[in-house]
Amino acid sequence: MNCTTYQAQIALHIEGDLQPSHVRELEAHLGQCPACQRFQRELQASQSMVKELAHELPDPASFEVVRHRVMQQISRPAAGRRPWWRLHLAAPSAWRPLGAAACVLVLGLVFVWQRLRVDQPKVEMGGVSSSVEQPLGGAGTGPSLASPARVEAPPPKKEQHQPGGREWHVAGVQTPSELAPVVAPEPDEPLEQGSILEPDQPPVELAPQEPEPLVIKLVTDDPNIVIVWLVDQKLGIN
Amino acid sequence: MTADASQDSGSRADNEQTATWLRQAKAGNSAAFEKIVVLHQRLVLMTSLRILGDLKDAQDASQEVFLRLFKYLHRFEESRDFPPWLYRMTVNACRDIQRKRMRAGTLSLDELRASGEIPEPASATDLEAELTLTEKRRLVSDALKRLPEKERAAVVLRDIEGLSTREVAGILGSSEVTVRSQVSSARMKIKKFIERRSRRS
Repeated sequence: MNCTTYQAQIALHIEGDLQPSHVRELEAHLGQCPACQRFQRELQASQSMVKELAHELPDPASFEVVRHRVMQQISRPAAGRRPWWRLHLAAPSAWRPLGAAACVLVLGLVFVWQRLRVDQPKVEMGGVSSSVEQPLGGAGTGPSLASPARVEAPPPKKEQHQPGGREWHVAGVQTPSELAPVVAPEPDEPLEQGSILEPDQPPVELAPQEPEPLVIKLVTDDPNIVIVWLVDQKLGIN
Repeated sequence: MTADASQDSGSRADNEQTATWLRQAKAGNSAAFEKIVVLHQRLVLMTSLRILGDLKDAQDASQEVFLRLFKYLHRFEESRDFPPWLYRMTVNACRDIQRKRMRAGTLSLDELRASGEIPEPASATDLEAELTLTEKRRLVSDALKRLPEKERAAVVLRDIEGLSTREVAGILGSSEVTVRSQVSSARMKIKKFIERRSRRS
Protein backbone atom coordinates (compact mmCIF):
# COMPACT_ATOMS: atom_id res chain seq x y z
CA MET A 1 0.00 0.00 0.00
CA ASN A 2 1.14 3.55 -0.65
CA CYS A 3 0.68 6.66 1.49
CA THR A 4 -2.48 7.71 -0.34
CA THR A 5 -4.20 4.51 0.75
CA TYR A 6 -2.90 4.89 4.27
CA GLN A 7 -4.13 8.48 4.42
CA ALA A 8 -7.66 7.35 3.62
CA GLN A 9 -7.34 4.97 6.55
CA ILE A 10 -5.94 7.73 8.76
CA ALA A 11 -9.08 9.77 8.03
CA LEU A 12 -11.07 6.95 9.60
CA HIS A 13 -8.60 6.02 12.30
CA ILE A 14 -8.57 9.46 13.97
CA GLU A 15 -12.24 9.05 14.90
CA GLY A 16 -12.08 5.35 15.64
CA ASP A 17 -13.89 4.34 12.47
CA LEU A 18 -11.17 2.11 11.02
CA GLN A 19 -11.87 -1.59 11.22
CA PRO A 20 -9.65 -3.30 13.83
CA SER A 21 -8.08 -5.58 11.24
CA HIS A 22 -6.46 -2.56 9.55
CA VAL A 23 -5.44 -0.64 12.67
CA ARG A 24 -2.23 -2.57 13.45
CA GLU A 25 -0.91 -2.28 9.91
CA LEU A 26 -1.67 1.46 9.79
CA GLU A 27 0.01 2.13 13.12
CA ALA A 28 3.07 0.25 11.91
CA HIS A 29 3.21 2.47 8.83
CA LEU A 30 2.70 5.66 10.85
CA GLY A 31 5.68 4.71 13.03
CA GLN A 32 8.02 4.96 10.06
CA CYS A 33 6.37 7.59 7.73
CA PRO A 34 6.83 11.27 8.76
CA ALA A 35 4.58 12.45 5.88
CA CYS A 36 1.68 10.36 7.12
CA GLN A 37 2.39 11.48 10.70
CA ARG A 38 2.11 15.14 9.56
CA PHE A 39 -1.04 14.28 7.60
CA GLN A 40 -2.53 12.79 10.74
CA ARG A 41 -1.73 15.92 12.82
CA GLU A 42 -3.25 18.25 10.21
CA LEU A 43 -6.32 16.08 9.93
CA GLN A 44 -6.80 16.09 13.69
CA ALA A 45 -6.59 19.91 13.64
CA SER A 46 -9.23 20.25 10.92
CA GLN A 47 -11.41 17.66 12.66
CA SER A 48 -11.32 19.68 15.87
CA MET A 49 -12.61 22.65 13.86
CA VAL A 50 -15.38 20.52 12.38
CA LYS A 51 -16.43 19.27 15.79
CA GLU A 52 -16.48 22.81 17.05
CA LEU A 53 -19.54 23.34 14.87
CA ALA A 54 -21.49 21.01 17.17
CA HIS A 55 -21.37 23.69 19.86
CA GLU A 56 -22.65 26.42 17.63
CA LEU A 57 -26.23 27.41 18.22
CA PRO A 58 -28.11 29.99 16.23
CA ASP A 59 -30.21 32.72 17.76
CA PRO A 60 -33.02 31.19 19.89
CA ALA A 61 -35.45 33.20 17.80
CA SER A 62 -34.56 30.93 14.87
CA PHE A 63 -36.03 27.96 16.75
CA GLU A 64 -39.01 30.02 17.78
CA VAL A 65 -39.77 30.86 14.16
CA VAL A 66 -39.90 27.17 13.22
CA ARG A 67 -42.01 26.19 16.23
CA HIS A 68 -44.43 29.04 15.61
CA ARG A 69 -44.82 28.21 11.92
CA VAL A 70 -45.36 24.52 12.62
CA MET A 71 -47.93 25.07 15.33
CA GLN A 72 -49.73 27.61 13.19
CA GLN A 73 -49.95 25.11 10.35
CA ILE A 74 -51.18 22.19 12.40
CA SER A 75 -53.76 24.32 14.16
CA ARG A 76 -55.37 24.60 10.73
CA PRO A 77 -55.43 20.91 9.91
CA ALA A 78 -57.48 21.22 6.74
CA ALA A 79 -55.29 23.91 5.25
CA GLY A 80 -52.60 21.65 3.91
CA ARG A 81 -54.86 18.81 2.93
CA ARG A 82 -57.48 20.48 0.83
CA PRO A 83 -58.27 18.92 -2.50
CA TRP A 84 -57.30 20.96 -5.53
CA TRP A 85 -60.80 22.30 -6.07
CA ARG A 86 -60.94 23.59 -2.51
CA LEU A 87 -57.61 25.30 -3.04
CA HIS A 88 -59.04 27.05 -6.07
CA LEU A 89 -62.05 28.13 -4.07
CA ALA A 90 -59.70 29.45 -1.45
CA ALA A 91 -58.17 31.75 -4.02
CA PRO A 92 -57.46 35.34 -3.09
CA SER A 93 -60.61 37.07 -1.92
CA ALA A 94 -60.25 39.66 -4.70
CA TRP A 95 -61.30 36.99 -7.20
CA ARG A 96 -64.45 35.97 -5.37
CA PRO A 97 -66.68 38.93 -6.43
CA LEU A 98 -65.55 38.48 -10.02
CA GLY A 99 -66.38 34.79 -9.89
CA ALA A 100 -69.79 35.50 -8.38
CA ALA A 101 -70.53 38.15 -11.02
CA ALA A 102 -69.56 35.75 -13.80
CA CYS A 103 -71.86 33.08 -12.36
CA VAL A 104 -74.79 35.54 -12.14
CA LEU A 105 -74.18 36.70 -15.70
CA VAL A 106 -74.12 33.16 -17.07
CA LEU A 107 -77.26 32.21 -15.15
CA GLY A 108 -79.01 35.34 -16.40
CA LEU A 109 -78.12 34.63 -20.00
CA VAL A 110 -79.30 31.06 -19.69
CA PHE A 111 -82.59 32.24 -18.17
CA VAL A 112 -83.21 34.79 -20.91
CA TRP A 113 -82.37 32.28 -23.61
CA GLN A 114 -84.77 29.76 -22.14
CA ARG A 115 -87.52 32.37 -21.96
CA LEU A 116 -86.94 33.29 -25.57
CA ARG A 117 -87.20 29.69 -26.61
CA VAL A 118 -90.42 29.07 -24.69
CA ASP A 119 -92.22 32.33 -25.30
CA GLN A 120 -91.43 33.14 -28.86
CA PRO A 121 -94.06 31.99 -31.33
CA LYS A 122 -92.77 31.29 -34.74
CA VAL A 123 -94.10 31.86 -38.16
CA GLU A 124 -94.13 28.84 -40.26
CA MET A 125 -94.01 29.42 -43.85
CA GLY A 126 -93.87 26.53 -46.15
CA GLY A 127 -93.60 23.83 -43.54
CA VAL A 128 -91.63 25.59 -40.81
CA SER A 129 -93.32 24.62 -37.61
CA SER A 130 -94.08 27.12 -34.89
CA SER A 131 -96.17 27.76 -31.83
CA VAL A 132 -99.53 29.46 -31.81
CA GLU A 133 -100.23 28.92 -28.17
CA GLN A 134 -100.38 32.68 -27.89
CA PRO A 135 -102.12 35.04 -30.15
CA LEU A 136 -100.31 36.24 -33.18
CA GLY A 137 -97.67 38.70 -32.22
CA GLY A 138 -98.61 38.25 -28.57
CA ALA A 139 -95.24 37.21 -27.29
CA GLY A 140 -93.57 39.70 -25.06
CA THR A 141 -90.37 39.38 -26.89
CA GLY A 142 -91.92 39.44 -30.30
CA PRO A 143 -93.69 42.25 -31.98
CA SER A 144 -96.85 43.64 -30.47
CA LEU A 145 -100.32 42.68 -31.56
CA ALA A 146 -100.46 45.75 -33.65
CA SER A 147 -97.45 44.69 -35.57
CA PRO A 148 -98.35 43.83 -39.04
CA ALA A 149 -97.80 40.24 -39.86
CA ARG A 150 -97.24 39.86 -43.47
CA VAL A 151 -97.34 36.46 -45.02
CA GLU A 152 -95.47 35.59 -48.05
CA ALA A 153 -96.03 32.88 -50.49
CA PRO A 154 -94.52 29.51 -49.72
CA PRO A 155 -91.77 28.17 -51.88
CA PRO A 156 -93.20 26.30 -54.81
CA LYS A 157 -91.95 22.90 -53.70
CA LYS A 158 -93.69 23.24 -50.32
CA GLU A 159 -96.97 24.13 -51.83
CA GLN A 160 -99.65 21.58 -51.05
CA HIS A 161 -101.79 21.10 -53.99
CA GLN A 162 -105.48 20.86 -53.44
CA PRO A 163 -108.02 20.80 -56.15
CA GLY A 164 -108.92 24.26 -56.99
CA GLY A 165 -107.01 25.92 -54.23
CA ARG A 166 -103.68 26.55 -52.54
CA GLU A 167 -102.61 25.87 -49.01
CA TRP A 168 -100.83 28.41 -46.82
CA HIS A 169 -99.19 28.02 -43.49
CA VAL A 170 -99.34 30.93 -41.14
CA ALA A 171 -98.49 30.61 -37.51
CA GLY A 172 -97.79 33.59 -35.38
CA VAL A 173 -94.94 36.06 -35.42
CA GLN A 174 -91.45 35.85 -34.00
CA THR A 175 -89.46 38.99 -34.40
CA PRO A 176 -89.66 41.79 -36.87
CA SER A 177 -86.84 40.28 -38.83
CA GLU A 178 -88.70 37.03 -38.95
CA LEU A 179 -91.95 38.54 -40.06
CA ALA A 180 -93.04 36.55 -42.99
CA PRO A 181 -95.02 38.59 -45.44
CA VAL A 182 -97.82 36.89 -47.20
CA VAL A 183 -97.91 37.76 -50.75
CA ALA A 184 -100.02 36.67 -53.52
CA PRO A 185 -99.22 33.36 -55.14
CA GLU A 186 -97.84 35.23 -58.06
CA PRO A 187 -94.92 37.23 -56.80
CA ASP A 188 -95.34 39.63 -59.64
CA GLU A 189 -98.62 40.95 -58.30
CA PRO A 190 -98.34 43.83 -55.88
CA LEU A 191 -99.84 43.51 -52.43
CA GLU A 192 -102.90 45.51 -51.70
CA GLN A 193 -103.14 47.75 -48.71
CA GLY A 194 -105.68 45.61 -46.94
CA SER A 195 -103.75 42.41 -47.33
CA ILE A 196 -101.56 42.97 -44.35
CA LEU A 197 -102.40 40.45 -41.65
CA GLU A 198 -103.65 41.69 -38.36
CA PRO A 199 -103.47 39.44 -35.29
CA ASP A 200 -107.19 39.00 -35.10
CA GLN A 201 -107.73 39.45 -38.72
CA PRO A 202 -106.42 36.55 -40.70
CA PRO A 203 -105.09 37.34 -44.07
CA VAL A 204 -107.93 38.03 -46.40
CA GLU A 205 -108.33 39.27 -49.82
CA LEU A 206 -105.02 38.09 -50.93
CA ALA A 207 -104.89 37.97 -54.60
CA PRO A 208 -108.47 39.09 -55.20
CA GLN A 209 -108.31 38.27 -58.81
CA GLU A 210 -107.91 34.56 -58.08
CA PRO A 211 -111.17 32.67 -58.04
CA GLU A 212 -109.74 29.68 -56.11
CA PRO A 213 -110.09 29.73 -52.30
CA LEU A 214 -106.97 30.02 -50.21
CA VAL A 215 -106.24 27.59 -47.39
CA ILE A 216 -104.30 29.09 -44.53
CA LYS A 217 -103.03 26.78 -41.83
CA LEU A 218 -101.80 27.84 -38.47
CA VAL A 219 -99.46 25.13 -37.31
CA THR A 220 -98.69 24.83 -33.64
CA ASP A 221 -95.98 22.98 -31.80
CA ASP A 222 -98.56 20.38 -31.03
CA PRO A 223 -98.88 18.39 -34.22
CA ASN A 224 -102.50 17.56 -33.28
CA ILE A 225 -103.55 21.19 -33.33
CA VAL A 226 -103.74 22.82 -36.72
CA ILE A 227 -105.91 25.84 -37.34
CA VAL A 228 -107.15 26.00 -40.88
CA TRP A 229 -108.67 29.06 -42.45
CA LEU A 230 -110.37 28.83 -45.77
CA VAL A 231 -110.37 32.13 -47.55
CA ASP A 232 -112.70 32.81 -50.34
CA GLN A 233 -111.03 35.52 -52.17
CA LYS A 234 -114.32 36.98 -53.21
CA LEU A 235 -116.39 36.54 -50.05
CA GLY A 236 -113.81 36.58 -47.28
CA ILE A 237 -113.10 34.04 -44.57
CA ASN A 238 -115.30 30.92 -44.38
CA MET B 1 -20.97 8.46 36.54
CA THR B 2 -19.11 9.31 33.35
CA ALA B 3 -20.25 11.97 30.90
CA ASP B 4 -21.26 9.33 28.36
CA ALA B 5 -23.29 7.42 30.92
CA SER B 6 -25.13 10.55 32.04
CA GLN B 7 -25.74 11.46 28.38
CA ASP B 8 -27.13 7.99 27.72
CA SER B 9 -29.47 8.15 30.70
CA GLY B 10 -30.53 11.63 29.61
CA SER B 11 -31.34 10.50 26.09
CA ARG B 12 -33.17 7.47 27.50
CA ALA B 13 -35.32 9.79 29.59
CA ASP B 14 -35.89 11.94 26.52
CA ASN B 15 -36.96 8.89 24.56
CA GLU B 16 -39.42 7.83 27.26
CA GLN B 17 -40.80 11.32 27.51
CA THR B 18 -41.04 11.54 23.72
CA ALA B 19 -42.90 8.21 23.59
CA THR B 20 -45.47 9.55 26.08
CA TRP B 21 -45.92 12.75 24.10
CA LEU B 22 -46.17 10.80 20.87
CA ARG B 23 -49.03 8.75 22.29
CA GLN B 24 -50.79 11.92 23.41
CA ALA B 25 -50.13 13.65 20.09
CA LYS B 26 -51.54 10.67 18.20
CA ALA B 27 -54.67 11.07 20.32
CA GLY B 28 -54.95 14.64 19.01
CA ASN B 29 -53.17 16.53 21.78
CA SER B 30 -51.47 19.42 20.00
CA ALA B 31 -49.79 20.61 23.20
CA ALA B 32 -48.00 17.27 23.41
CA PHE B 33 -46.89 17.64 19.81
CA GLU B 34 -45.56 21.10 20.57
CA LYS B 35 -43.47 19.61 23.39
CA ILE B 36 -41.97 17.14 20.90
CA VAL B 37 -41.12 20.06 18.62
CA VAL B 38 -39.46 21.97 21.42
CA LEU B 39 -37.45 18.94 22.57
CA HIS B 40 -36.19 18.02 19.11
CA GLN B 41 -35.99 21.34 17.32
CA ARG B 42 -32.27 21.68 17.98
CA LEU B 43 -31.58 18.30 16.37
CA VAL B 44 -33.66 19.11 13.31
CA LEU B 45 -32.68 22.75 12.78
CA MET B 46 -28.96 22.31 13.42
CA THR B 47 -28.68 19.23 11.23
CA SER B 48 -30.53 21.08 8.48
CA LEU B 49 -28.27 24.06 8.93
CA ARG B 50 -25.10 21.94 8.60
CA ILE B 51 -26.39 20.19 5.52
CA LEU B 52 -27.89 23.20 3.78
CA GLY B 53 -25.52 25.90 5.03
CA ASP B 54 -28.25 28.53 5.12
CA LEU B 55 -30.43 29.40 8.09
CA LYS B 56 -33.51 30.31 6.08
CA ASP B 57 -33.35 27.07 4.10
CA ALA B 58 -32.73 25.19 7.33
CA GLN B 59 -35.82 26.73 8.90
CA ASP B 60 -37.89 25.78 5.87
CA ALA B 61 -36.55 22.23 6.04
CA SER B 62 -37.23 22.03 9.78
CA GLN B 63 -40.76 23.22 9.31
CA GLU B 64 -41.26 20.58 6.65
CA VAL B 65 -39.83 17.88 8.94
CA PHE B 66 -42.22 18.67 11.78
CA LEU B 67 -45.20 18.94 9.45
CA ARG B 68 -44.33 15.55 7.98
CA LEU B 69 -43.90 14.22 11.49
CA PHE B 70 -47.38 15.45 12.35
CA LYS B 71 -48.81 13.99 9.16
CA TYR B 72 -47.22 10.56 9.58
CA LEU B 73 -47.36 10.40 13.35
CA HIS B 74 -49.68 7.42 13.24
CA ARG B 75 -47.06 5.42 11.32
CA PHE B 76 -44.44 5.66 14.02
CA GLU B 77 -44.25 2.72 16.37
CA GLU B 78 -43.36 3.86 19.88
CA SER B 79 -41.16 0.82 20.41
CA ARG B 80 -38.72 2.20 17.83
CA ASP B 81 -36.04 4.74 18.53
CA PHE B 82 -37.36 8.17 17.69
CA PRO B 83 -34.24 10.28 16.85
CA PRO B 84 -33.02 8.13 13.92
CA TRP B 85 -36.48 8.42 12.39
CA LEU B 86 -36.34 12.18 12.86
CA TYR B 87 -32.82 12.37 11.39
CA ARG B 88 -33.94 10.45 8.34
CA MET B 89 -36.85 12.82 7.81
CA THR B 90 -34.48 15.75 8.24
CA VAL B 91 -31.99 14.46 5.68
CA ASN B 92 -34.82 13.79 3.23
CA ALA B 93 -36.30 17.25 3.74
CA CYS B 94 -32.86 18.78 3.17
CA ARG B 95 -32.46 16.80 -0.05
CA ASP B 96 -35.81 18.10 -1.26
CA ILE B 97 -34.80 21.68 -0.48
CA GLN B 98 -31.45 21.22 -2.22
CA ARG B 99 -33.16 19.90 -5.33
CA LYS B 100 -35.59 22.78 -5.34
CA ARG B 101 -32.68 25.17 -4.92
CA MET B 102 -30.84 23.57 -7.83
CA ARG B 103 -33.95 23.74 -10.02
CA ALA B 104 -34.45 27.37 -9.07
CA GLY B 105 -30.86 28.04 -10.20
CA THR B 106 -29.64 29.39 -6.88
CA LEU B 107 -26.14 30.83 -7.11
CA SER B 108 -23.34 28.63 -5.88
CA LEU B 109 -21.02 29.71 -3.11
CA ASP B 110 -18.30 30.69 -5.57
CA GLU B 111 -20.73 32.83 -7.53
CA LEU B 112 -21.93 34.56 -4.39
CA ARG B 113 -18.36 35.18 -3.36
CA ALA B 114 -17.46 36.54 -6.77
CA SER B 115 -20.39 38.94 -6.53
CA GLY B 116 -19.14 40.08 -3.12
CA GLU B 117 -22.21 38.88 -1.21
CA ILE B 118 -20.14 36.55 0.94
CA PRO B 119 -16.74 37.78 2.07
CA GLU B 120 -13.65 35.63 1.95
CA PRO B 121 -13.10 34.11 5.39
CA ALA B 122 -10.22 35.45 7.42
CA SER B 123 -7.42 32.98 7.99
CA ALA B 124 -3.87 32.69 9.38
CA THR B 125 -0.86 30.47 9.07
CA ASP B 126 -1.74 28.62 12.22
CA LEU B 127 -5.47 28.29 11.80
CA GLU B 128 -6.09 26.60 15.09
CA ALA B 129 -4.31 29.29 17.06
CA GLU B 130 -5.11 32.47 15.20
CA LEU B 131 -8.57 32.17 13.72
CA THR B 132 -11.40 33.41 15.83
CA LEU B 133 -14.12 30.98 16.71
CA THR B 134 -16.51 32.62 14.29
CA GLU B 135 -13.95 32.44 11.48
CA LYS B 136 -13.27 28.79 12.15
CA ARG B 137 -16.95 27.98 12.03
CA ARG B 138 -17.43 29.91 8.82
CA LEU B 139 -14.45 28.16 7.27
CA VAL B 140 -15.80 24.74 8.13
CA SER B 141 -19.28 25.71 6.96
CA ASP B 142 -17.82 26.79 3.64
CA ALA B 143 -15.93 23.53 3.39
CA LEU B 144 -19.10 21.57 4.09
CA LYS B 145 -20.98 23.42 1.39
CA ARG B 146 -18.45 22.26 -1.18
CA LEU B 147 -18.88 18.58 -0.39
CA PRO B 148 -21.07 16.33 -2.48
CA GLU B 149 -24.55 15.95 -1.00
CA LYS B 150 -24.10 12.40 0.32
CA GLU B 151 -20.66 13.01 1.79
CA ARG B 152 -21.92 16.15 3.49
CA ALA B 153 -24.86 14.33 5.07
CA ALA B 154 -22.59 11.51 6.24
CA VAL B 155 -19.95 13.74 7.81
CA VAL B 156 -22.54 16.00 9.46
CA LEU B 157 -24.29 13.05 11.08
CA ARG B 158 -21.08 11.30 12.04
CA ASP B 159 -18.74 14.11 13.10
CA ILE B 160 -21.03 16.95 14.14
CA GLU B 161 -24.11 15.11 15.36
CA GLY B 162 -21.89 12.38 16.81
CA LEU B 163 -23.86 9.38 15.57
CA SER B 164 -22.20 6.01 15.08
CA THR B 165 -21.35 4.71 11.63
CA ARG B 166 -24.12 2.13 11.94
CA GLU B 167 -26.68 4.78 12.85
CA VAL B 168 -25.59 6.98 9.97
CA ALA B 169 -25.87 4.05 7.60
CA GLY B 170 -29.39 3.34 8.86
CA ILE B 171 -30.45 6.96 8.45
CA LEU B 172 -28.98 7.35 4.98
CA GLY B 173 -30.16 3.94 3.86
CA SER B 174 -26.70 2.79 2.84
CA SER B 175 -24.13 0.31 4.08
CA GLU B 176 -21.55 0.98 6.80
CA VAL B 177 -18.77 0.47 4.26
CA THR B 178 -20.26 3.19 2.07
CA VAL B 179 -20.62 5.53 5.02
CA ARG B 180 -16.97 4.95 6.05
CA SER B 181 -15.84 5.71 2.53
CA GLN B 182 -17.95 8.88 2.38
CA VAL B 183 -16.79 10.07 5.78
CA SER B 184 -13.12 9.42 5.00
CA SER B 185 -13.35 11.27 1.71
CA ALA B 186 -15.22 14.20 3.31
CA ARG B 187 -12.69 14.59 6.11
CA MET B 188 -9.78 14.73 3.68
CA LYS B 189 -11.57 17.25 1.46
CA ILE B 190 -12.33 19.50 4.43
CA LYS B 191 -8.69 19.37 5.48
CA LYS B 192 -7.54 20.27 1.97
CA PHE B 193 -10.02 23.12 1.75
CA ILE B 194 -8.84 24.63 5.02
CA GLU B 195 -5.19 24.32 4.01
CA ARG B 196 -5.81 25.86 0.63
CA ARG B 197 -7.57 28.77 2.26
CA SER B 198 -4.73 29.34 4.68
CA ARG B 199 -2.12 29.19 1.89
CA ARG B 200 -4.10 31.66 -0.21
CA SER B 201 -4.15 34.13 2.60
